[in-house]
Amino acid sequence: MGHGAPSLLHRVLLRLYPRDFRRQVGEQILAFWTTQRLETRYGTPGIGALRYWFDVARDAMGNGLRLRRDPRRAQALGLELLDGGLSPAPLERLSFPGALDLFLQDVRFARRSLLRQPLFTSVAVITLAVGIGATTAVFSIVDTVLYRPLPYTQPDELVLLGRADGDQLDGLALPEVEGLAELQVFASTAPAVSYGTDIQWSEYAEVMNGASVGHQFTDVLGIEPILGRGFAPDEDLPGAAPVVMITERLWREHFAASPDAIGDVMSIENVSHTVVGVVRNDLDFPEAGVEFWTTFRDAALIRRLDLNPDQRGLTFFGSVARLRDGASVASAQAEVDALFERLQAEEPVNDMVPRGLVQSMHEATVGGSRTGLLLFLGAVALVFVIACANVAGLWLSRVSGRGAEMALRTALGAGRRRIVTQLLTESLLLAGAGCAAGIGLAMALQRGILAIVPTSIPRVDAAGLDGRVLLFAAALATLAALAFGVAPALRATGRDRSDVLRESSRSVAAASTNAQRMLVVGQIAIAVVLLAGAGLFANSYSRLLQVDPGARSAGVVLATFSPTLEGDNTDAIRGFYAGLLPRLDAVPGVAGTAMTYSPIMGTSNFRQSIQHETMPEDDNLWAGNVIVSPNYFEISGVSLLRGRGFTEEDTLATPHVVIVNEVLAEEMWPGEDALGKRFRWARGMSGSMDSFEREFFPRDYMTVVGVAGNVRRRGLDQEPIAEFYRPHAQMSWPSMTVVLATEGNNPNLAEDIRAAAADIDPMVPMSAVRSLEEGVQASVAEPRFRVLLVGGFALVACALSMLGIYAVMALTVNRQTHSIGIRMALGAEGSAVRRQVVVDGMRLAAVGVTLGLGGALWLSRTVAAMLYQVEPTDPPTFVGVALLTLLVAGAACYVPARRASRLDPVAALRTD
Amino acid sequence: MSPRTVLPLPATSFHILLALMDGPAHGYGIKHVVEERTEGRIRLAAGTLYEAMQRLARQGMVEDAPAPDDFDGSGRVRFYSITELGATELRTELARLEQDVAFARARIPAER
Repeated sequence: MGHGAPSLLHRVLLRLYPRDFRRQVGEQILAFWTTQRLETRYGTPGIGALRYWFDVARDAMGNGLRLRRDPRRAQALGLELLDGGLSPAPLERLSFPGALDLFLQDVRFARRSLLRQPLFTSVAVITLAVGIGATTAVFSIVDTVLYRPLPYTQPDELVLLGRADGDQLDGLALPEVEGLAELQVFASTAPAVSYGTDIQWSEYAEVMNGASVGHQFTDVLGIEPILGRGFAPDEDLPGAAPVVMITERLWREHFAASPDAIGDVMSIENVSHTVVGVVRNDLDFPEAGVEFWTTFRDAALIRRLDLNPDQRGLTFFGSVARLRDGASVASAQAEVDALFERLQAEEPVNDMVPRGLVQSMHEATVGGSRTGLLLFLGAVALVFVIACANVAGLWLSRVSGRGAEMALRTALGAGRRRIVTQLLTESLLLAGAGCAAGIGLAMALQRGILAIVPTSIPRVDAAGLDGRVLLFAAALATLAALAFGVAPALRATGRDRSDVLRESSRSVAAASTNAQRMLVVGQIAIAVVLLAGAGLFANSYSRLLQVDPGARSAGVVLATFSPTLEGDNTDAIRGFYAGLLPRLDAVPGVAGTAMTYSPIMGTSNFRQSIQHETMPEDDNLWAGNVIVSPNYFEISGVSLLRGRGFTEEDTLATPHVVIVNEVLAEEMWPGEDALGKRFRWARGMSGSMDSFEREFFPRDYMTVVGVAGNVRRRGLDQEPIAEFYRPHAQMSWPSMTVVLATEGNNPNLAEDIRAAAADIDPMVPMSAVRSLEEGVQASVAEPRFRVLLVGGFALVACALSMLGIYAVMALTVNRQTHSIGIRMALGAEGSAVRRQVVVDGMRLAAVGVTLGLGGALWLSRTVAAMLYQVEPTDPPTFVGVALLTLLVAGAACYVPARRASRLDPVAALRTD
Repeated sequence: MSPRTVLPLPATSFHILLALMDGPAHGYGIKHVVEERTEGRIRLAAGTLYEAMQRLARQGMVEDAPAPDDFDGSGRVRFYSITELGATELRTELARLEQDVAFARARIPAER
């Protein structure tokens, strides 16, 4: 006997036996258990271990607890039970489930006891449900986004590579992609570039997000296609037959979920691609929303531009890599740094010398959301603490009101531990009810939060209430039960209770009231912290909404068209738009149409390096290049400050003209008039230039004919950047967004626009018709989300703490009935009594507010980066929050105060 | 302690004493023998067994015994042997059971 060492669990279970018994035969039992493990019936893999531990646990719980709880048995063995065992209780029938029986008996008693006070119980359960529900809902989202592993094999080995733009990943040039693939620190790498491109289905065409990826990408990510296969290496060579992998969604929608889809074709930019594989929808590689993958060498973007990517000027590639065993992000970064130094020596990049960046894929995906999400979790945790404090306050008064009951039970022989267990069972039962209601609330709340969550937070769709979240809720409930249950239980049993039977309960109650007052101060302090946070966010949000984006958004709708450029025939592109715009103009409800490549709040943006006449050859500036139609300024509301706009006379046949914005004018020619000045592209494309390239990247100088107002293109909180406008007639980019100013109310606007476009060519892909106003709203979705969430939490916290101060003042008045009666009998006015109660309550509130303001000031630094033009210590916000809290607290105190002032002195004096 | 105060023996004790009639054994050994002899009808858990052993020891029916020479397990494992009193008790119990059985047989004819 005695094979193998007893485990920790063995020792924990052994502790269920009374100490004396353990001392006598504890070692023997451990040896017995370890030998028992060798029995053949426990040998079945998996289930055997379960069966074994079940038997051992049953042994320990049944026999151990029975010995503890049955004094006669214990006596027969000469055991001394320090806690006096169980009494009074019917002991004979306690067999194995004895412990369970006893527990159930406690639960039944607790249930009866709680149901006797339905008001207390329902208030407590609702409060707990709010605390647990809100915390669980936020936790489920935070957990999903931040802590779930990415849906790839061993995702912690995956890193994304790029050029460094601060700590953000930026695009790589192809020679860099190839250099990275050869680094020893990576087990494998795959380049990737995603873009929107047009897909021709049989009836219509649409723009869809796809990606060109290295054939290795399925191996690097460690994913298996659900149908078909990944790419073969020889499919990723120039001139190979085009192949494509698609998402399950695309497969279901366009290939009827048929196995025959493999080998079928899909037309991407009018090129037939053979479908070789289907992958699951949540692949999200290299970013969310990508629906199909072609091989890297097939990159439609490269084909469309007809450019030679093998130089360091074109930087829009990304790369994913799997770290070799034992390699870290830091060691990879060191090798990447060395590579970039080598490349810089071989083929120098003259403007900003690029640096490489290695970022764990998880960090790159969710890192940007971390601070915000943890902020929400912190805020909701404060609500949870307030809820617990509230219930603790209620619980204290309830337990102290049961002093006589406790004393009676003690007198009848119940041990202290027994009573504490009973009280804890009650608090656990209460917390359990709160937890159940809270989980229901969490489901609703989670749905509500997901409905307003900004799309910038990744992976949020996967949030649900799974086992992990439920476990979290249960843990919260246990924590809550201990938080509000233990102290009162110990306090209730802590003294010699015989005094309680004799005395009035007044003196005993005073102690618990003090504890409740402290709880109230804490609650108010926390509520002030949340209110201050909400106030700062609301303040910042309202300032953001007042920002003028520099362009009109009211009543403006957008639709993007993507005609395919055949060869270098830009005439066809100009012809298409020349036909389209008048047709759209004729649609009912449309007041005017213009077009641009880069609508505000959109992502389309050319950035080009340019140099003006007096700049040295190797110097340049970066600026955004916005292609527009002549009437763009008039329709979009972008102001033209000086000079002229574009006209129909600005064509390929006339000199290149350009309109610069104020930022660029100031950067290029500080203090001078920009009109009539000239600049050109810093570098033309290498090699022979065909007419397409000559049109898009001319070496000729462009003359500034106008200066336009600044536009906050990327969001209301983003400072305007240097930009210049070019007429579409001189730079006929195929894909353009039509800007339509609308008037009146045409309910079929979108269909009418679509019909007008189809009238020219149904096979030209058109995006959904979208409202620019909604786009502006979406650009402030994150700050709005913060205001709603933190504001909601702050209101709940405020309401709970006001409930707290109300309850404690009502209780105080109740307990002081006698003394108030004396004062009034001696001639005190009702108003004086009222004032006394309110002042008493406000003193608590004032302490809470002071503590809360201190805490809020201390914490405000953490949100500084999320505020727009509001200091984290914004005095008006803090003063406002303090006054508001005091006001509401005064109102909460007034109700019990009024009751006190209306007491009948005679009746009051008669009360105990 | 007179036999009157401990009889009738609980089934657990009866089987434990019976097992020890073969010679000294440790706790798990007793469990093993009892389980085999009763064809699994009585499967003793550690707590049940040691509670019974402690009671039997206090009643003077079993006592600690040295480990046999061929035992290769841990030196801490305790061996038990049955005492004179224990053996007497067992025999008395057996006689009582035989009487009861004979009495019962006489009243209830065996099924054919």
